[in-house]
Amino acid sequence: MSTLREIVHRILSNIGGGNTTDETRFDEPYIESKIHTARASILSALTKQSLSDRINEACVQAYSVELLEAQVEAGCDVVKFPCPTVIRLDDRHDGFIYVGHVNAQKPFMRIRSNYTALSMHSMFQKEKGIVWDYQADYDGKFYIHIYKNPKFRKLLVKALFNDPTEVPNYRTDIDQYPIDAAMENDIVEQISVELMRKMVRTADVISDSLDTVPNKQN
Amino acid sequence: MTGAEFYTLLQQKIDKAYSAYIDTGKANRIIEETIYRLCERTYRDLDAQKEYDELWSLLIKDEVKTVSNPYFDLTGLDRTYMHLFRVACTFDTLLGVLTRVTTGAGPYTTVFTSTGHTVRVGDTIKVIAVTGVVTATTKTTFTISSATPVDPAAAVYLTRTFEATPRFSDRKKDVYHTATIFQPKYQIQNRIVGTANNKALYLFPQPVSITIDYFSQPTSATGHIFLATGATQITAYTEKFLYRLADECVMTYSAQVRDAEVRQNAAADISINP
Repeated sequence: MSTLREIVHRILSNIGGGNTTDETRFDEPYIESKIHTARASILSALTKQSLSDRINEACVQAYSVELLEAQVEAGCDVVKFPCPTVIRLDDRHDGFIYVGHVNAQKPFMRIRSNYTALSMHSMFQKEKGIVWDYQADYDGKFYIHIYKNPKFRKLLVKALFNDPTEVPNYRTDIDQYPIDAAMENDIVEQISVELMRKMVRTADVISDSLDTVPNKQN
Repeated sequence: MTGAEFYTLLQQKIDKAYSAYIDTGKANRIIEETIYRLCERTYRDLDAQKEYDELWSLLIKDEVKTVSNPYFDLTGLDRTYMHLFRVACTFDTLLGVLTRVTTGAGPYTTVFTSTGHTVRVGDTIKVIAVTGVVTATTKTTFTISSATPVDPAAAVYLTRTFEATPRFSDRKKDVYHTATIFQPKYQIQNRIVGTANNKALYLFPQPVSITIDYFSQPTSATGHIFLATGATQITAYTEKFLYRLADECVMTYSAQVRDAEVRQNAAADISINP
């Protein structure tokens, strides 16, 4: 399968009539961002058709993270692991596949979102194992919060992430982009058509605050 | 063909009545002017293999230059720069001063320990001046093979090369136009040093080296020279190119003497044998 850069160049090749040059008006990161969002919406649409379908492993990314003591807040009962945002599949499901022990054989129970404080307290009383939830923190970033084991330091996460390049061990230049061949085709065609539609309009390259297509004859 | 033979050919192509005007000095000036123009014109049509074959001696490929500043003065290239074809930037990413164990004796195998590394099989690893190729990885180690042993305590770098694209001044504000090592940018601009104007290639972010393809200016090096008295074989250009050059020289000459008939005949020759 293809790397992210190969998919970008498939799109550039489509809109360039089979040829790619240095001097395109579309920057690669712009097309990359469109690929990420197209992937998320296609995955969401596929899952909505039937939630009983298995998610293709080609779309799943895994990473393990080990916290250093310096990264743990002293005296806090909650251990926080940084985690990029995941795809929303529908109003009840998001993209987490596995959160648990690094041996990939012991998933932890997730606290359902929107639990009241009282319900959470009740759950903490009943549940003996580690539980977790996922939320934004004071620094604007998202974390997996691990409860009921302040000594916990190594976590394995498998999920469908919004931006696969934000996953810590992902190499943009060499790693396969997490999609299957059918999705790749859908993404390339969808974005190519969209860009070709934009290319019908001449780029506004005159800085005159009018945001209109320049008229070369004037 | 030698420069002197080219001079004889040129004289034959021009009406005998004018031959007195084409002394060797004048011929040299006409040839110099014409070869620059012909090369530029052929460069503009550099699509078919025919044009590449004709300009082969001016096409510089994969010239590698070390970069020690955010810019590279184009005078630092091996030949005189005219037009850019392509730039690739090589970056060294610091992996740290890693624990290592080296075994073997040419090739040497070194296993580095690094938890959470992102090194992949086939990557190039550099330790000072020694480079090796990654042959195996685990979650916490990676193994390289190198022709010479790596330093036992020096920092380890991951070496990667990415194709650069042009940076446009009026698009620098665009967040997607920001240069990164994955999308390096270059911009040709004037680097003013005192009263000197240096044609420089600015590179964002600064790489450790560049690999550059460019179109170079015709030169007076051995085998390239077109002196009308020259006895050295001109090997840098094809015979076909030289005959076309002779026709173009007649065009240049006819414009100087304002002879419409000669100009028309030369244009017809060029049209028949482009």
